Amino acid sequence: MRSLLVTLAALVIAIALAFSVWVANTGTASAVEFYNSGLKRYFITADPQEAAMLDAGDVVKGWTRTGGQFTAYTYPWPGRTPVCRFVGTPGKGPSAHFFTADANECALAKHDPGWTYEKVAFYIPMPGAGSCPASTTPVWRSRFANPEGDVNYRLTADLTAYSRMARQGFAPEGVVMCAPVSDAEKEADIVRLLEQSTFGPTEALVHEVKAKGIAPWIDEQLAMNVTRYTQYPYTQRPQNNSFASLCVDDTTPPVTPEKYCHTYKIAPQPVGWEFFRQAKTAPDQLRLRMAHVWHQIFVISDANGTYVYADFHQRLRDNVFGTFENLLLKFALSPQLGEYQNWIRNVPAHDGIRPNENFARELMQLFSIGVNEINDDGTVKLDANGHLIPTYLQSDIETLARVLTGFDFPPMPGAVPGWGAQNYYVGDMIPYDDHHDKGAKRLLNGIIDLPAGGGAMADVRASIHALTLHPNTPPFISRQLIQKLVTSSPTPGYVARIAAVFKDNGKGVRGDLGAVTRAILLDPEARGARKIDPEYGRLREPVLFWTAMIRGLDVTTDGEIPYALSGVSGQLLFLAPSVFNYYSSDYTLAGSAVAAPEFDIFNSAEFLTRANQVNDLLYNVDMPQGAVAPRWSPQPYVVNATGTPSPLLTAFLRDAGNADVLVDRLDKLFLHGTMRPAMRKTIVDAVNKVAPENALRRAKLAVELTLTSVDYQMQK
Amino acid sequence: MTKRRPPLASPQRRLLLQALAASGLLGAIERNVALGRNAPDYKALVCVYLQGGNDGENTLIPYDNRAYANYASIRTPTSGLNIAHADLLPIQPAHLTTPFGFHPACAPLKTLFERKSLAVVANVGMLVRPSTKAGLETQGAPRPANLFSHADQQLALQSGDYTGFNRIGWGGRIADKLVPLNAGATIPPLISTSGLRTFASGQTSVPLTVPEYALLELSSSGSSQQSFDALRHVALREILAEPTTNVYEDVAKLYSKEGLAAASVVHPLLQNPASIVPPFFAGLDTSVARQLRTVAMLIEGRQQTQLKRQVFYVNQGGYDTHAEQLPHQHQLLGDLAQALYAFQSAMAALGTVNDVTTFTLSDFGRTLKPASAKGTDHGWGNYAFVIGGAVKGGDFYGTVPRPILNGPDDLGQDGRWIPTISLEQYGATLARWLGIAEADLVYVFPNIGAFARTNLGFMA
Repeated sequence: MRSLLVTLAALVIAIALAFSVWVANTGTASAVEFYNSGLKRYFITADPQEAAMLDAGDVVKGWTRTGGQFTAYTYPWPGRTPVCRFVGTPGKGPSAHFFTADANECALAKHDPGWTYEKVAFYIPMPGAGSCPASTTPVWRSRFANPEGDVNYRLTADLTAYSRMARQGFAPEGVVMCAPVSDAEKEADIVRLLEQSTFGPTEALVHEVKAKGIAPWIDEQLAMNVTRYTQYPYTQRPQNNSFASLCVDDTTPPVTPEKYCHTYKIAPQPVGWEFFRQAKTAPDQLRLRMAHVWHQIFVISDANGTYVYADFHQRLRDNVFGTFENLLLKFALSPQLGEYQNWIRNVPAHDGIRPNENFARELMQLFSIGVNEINDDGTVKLDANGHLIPTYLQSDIETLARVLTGFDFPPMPGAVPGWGAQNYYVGDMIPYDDHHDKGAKRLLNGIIDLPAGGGAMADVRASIHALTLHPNTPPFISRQLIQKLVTSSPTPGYVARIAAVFKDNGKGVRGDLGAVTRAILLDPEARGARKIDPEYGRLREPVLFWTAMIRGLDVTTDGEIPYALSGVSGQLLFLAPSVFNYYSSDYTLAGSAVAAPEFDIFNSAEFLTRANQVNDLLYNVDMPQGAVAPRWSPQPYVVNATGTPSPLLTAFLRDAGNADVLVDRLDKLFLHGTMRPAMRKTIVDAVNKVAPENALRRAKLAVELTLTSVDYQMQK
Repeated sequence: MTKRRPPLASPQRRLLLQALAASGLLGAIERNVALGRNAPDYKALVCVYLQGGNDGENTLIPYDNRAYANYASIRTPTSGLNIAHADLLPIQPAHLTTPFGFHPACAPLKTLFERKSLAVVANVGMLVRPSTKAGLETQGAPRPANLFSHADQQLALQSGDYTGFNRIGWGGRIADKLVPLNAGATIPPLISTSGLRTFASGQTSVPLTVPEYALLELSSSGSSQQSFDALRHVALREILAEPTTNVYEDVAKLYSKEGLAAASVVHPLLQNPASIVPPFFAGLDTSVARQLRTVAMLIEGRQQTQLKRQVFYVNQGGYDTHAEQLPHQHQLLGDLAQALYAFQSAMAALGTVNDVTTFTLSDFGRTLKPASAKGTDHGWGNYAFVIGGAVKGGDFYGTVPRPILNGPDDLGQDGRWIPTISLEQYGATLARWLGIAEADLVYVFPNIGAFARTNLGFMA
């Protein structure tokens, strides 16, 4: 009898435990946000029937979904707080709804005749000491009130949207709830992370990051070994600048890649092709992505030999997680930069010739402090008359040009170093004090103040050190890094938080780029399942548009086609049109001040170009040999050529029979679950017009319509 | 049909307005165009922007012995910037007493000058107001923001705003004001062959970008795939028509729809096998030539597009010659001169030579004093060229700066000329010719009130 009781007790406990686990893990709903543009009101509901009624718009009109939502619980449980929902009492209170998870606030409102208690809207954990536990996402509230008694609240899990509510006259109220994160939301956030930190998400990598956790995965990436570009043997630069005389391709059969000497001695192509191959397979995705980002800030274009491109771009890769000062110094002392910006062999003024100012100008304008004084949050400072405040004057450039004198090429292996050395690009430039301007150099109101007699290297190092310490540098650089990873128009708050990490990584180090990268990716404005602020996101640049397809669709490629075609779209790697990159960091949407750098190379023609590139990728195997197809097959001048044949889409074929499942999968991988219902319907309907047995064609159609959409063009 | 949009304060509102549906534009083509009976004649302005800052001081060099000797004493043979007197192509401007020499690569421009189709406008640049050396150097006279920065000066010259705060272009504002003349047009009057530059962005007018390589249509997925292609293209357009809530997506959609809509009009024009334009550009395989050929073919198609007043933007990059200037500038000017000449010849063949005016602009001039590496640094005032049948060519307009280092026209001592003609004065002369009313000049050039003379007289 006793053992029976014990068994019964154990059974009851087991059932209770199971029940508690069940309750803890189920009973969730999406708290969905609506907006009424006529009333200018926000509204949240976790009730699917209420949401459906608002969607239908016949009983209650004028409400549309903003896309904002967070997860909430529908059952009470320890740790979950009921959220009271009130509606303004007609005639006495505002025509708005009010939500609170604060028991005191709820009790007060229940006694307020202006508010009528409706029900518990949902249950949700509360923040402890103003912040939320790691497994939840904060929900912020802002409040609008005017003298006429008009009141409205907005609850949102999107920090960017919350930060911008001031534009609509809302006042911030802080974090008020901590929403649980559903499994789907967790995966969506990881897809977004991979869009920001790699060359594109893959289903396998999403699972890997999910198992490890986002922060541990980032730390693992920061510590990983560096993937290396193949390095190429030295090629001498001909005296008359004519490379045609240097070597001529030998096209007599049999034709092998080694016979295309121009390509492998002079051109950037082999390095560019390898870029795309490594973008697909290299494990240190974050480092390689950051090297691609830094290449577009510390720009060189063109170079004197394939080995030169390979060396420079490896130099960037090797240094992107060290300090900013170190990266800037390695960039400044690279012979490739010395030549590109004309400061190699710069000498003091003589015979009516002044030291070249090109690098002196860009070192300040583009590579450290920018043209105008800015605040820590990236906003421009204005003087008493409302004018911009320049950071440097023409005279500062002229003085800095004097600092940048006396450097020459590193010696070839086995050669004796000396001024006038043969052009050789591996290794840092060598200083020669005899060819350095020995005068005192004071610029930027004494921020750089070098006494007479300083050596070339000492003067350059001191100047770069001073520019690193300049107050403009942390926000100037941080803002650009955020723009290249996450969003083109970051809030001042986001810039300020990252600039703070740039200033001090927590261990007293300034410009710790690993810490800055990490902070950008972990910031709440980067993280989250979906971002709904209308000004959030960045247009996918051509190179990343291609790498994401290659990775997401498992495209076999030797890199030749993606290199050429991203070039057609305006981003021919390593051959930027100027030091201002393939697209200008200043570019704004036409006629507005909204920052949109990548739109500099996107326009009505580019939309068609991208659509046709996707068409050609997916369907080239079906095309007659005379048209597009040969270009996509292996080319004789590519080592280990594979061409870029149409992907087999093997992973998607098994779902191709069911259009909803197929589109769902593409939505998750490419749009992190945010595909608009109208778009989903259009794609599903189109796919269902293709015969069910033609799985590959159905899959290709769904892929094409997803990737050519404007929704996909925006990484957000 | 034109894209009509009311002036708007916030970018979001402007962008959220609906663009025309493709079917609407196709309908316009088929529509009976009796509008032609009252329509004014056709005119077009073509801006050829020399990106990077062309060195005017080696484009036009004083030719008489004394003045050339002064040039050669500053740009000495050892500096690597000197162009030999014997290599120059001499021209005699109508109202000057001394000759000038064109850069040796500019033979086609000399021909146009002597034919009186090309005018030279001297010392044009961005100004806050008429300025002197003393005023700028010692009396704190205001100057344009970030005067020697490429990005800032490109923005200033193209927006017509020296503060750098305005992102709307004066080419766009011209198009805004000419909307009534373009009623019935099937594509936007503002066309850029080099992406979306500030110059071509209007307050209310949206530009069309047309690529150099004319492939403005959706590709097929393979032969005998017409029904599958139809399914694909219809679905693609449907998705494009659906509303979005992101500002960037809205803009991307606007351009994308515009591209698709214009493709049906522009593509046939650019693929027209009966076009008389291509032979004039035969053998010219440069970006600037391809762009000007595209412009010429679009002008050829003005019956189909029903445009009466157009503004084109063409861009030639590479002029930032900080090193090895001689070979680089030689190549660039040669490419430019040949392309401009081909374009003029095509206009003559089309009968539009009096209706189309081409003009150049550049970030800034360059320092007369050489810099190391056989290059030059950023300057200020520069030569500009205006070409067309309606141009009173064969002459110089404005005042050539006195080429004296640290002289009365030099801001500093390296030969950066203080402009004596502002962008506004130059542009207003062109805008007036195109048909902008006197009262509307201040809309196009907000700062024009700072300058007394707003018609430089180089247009007939």
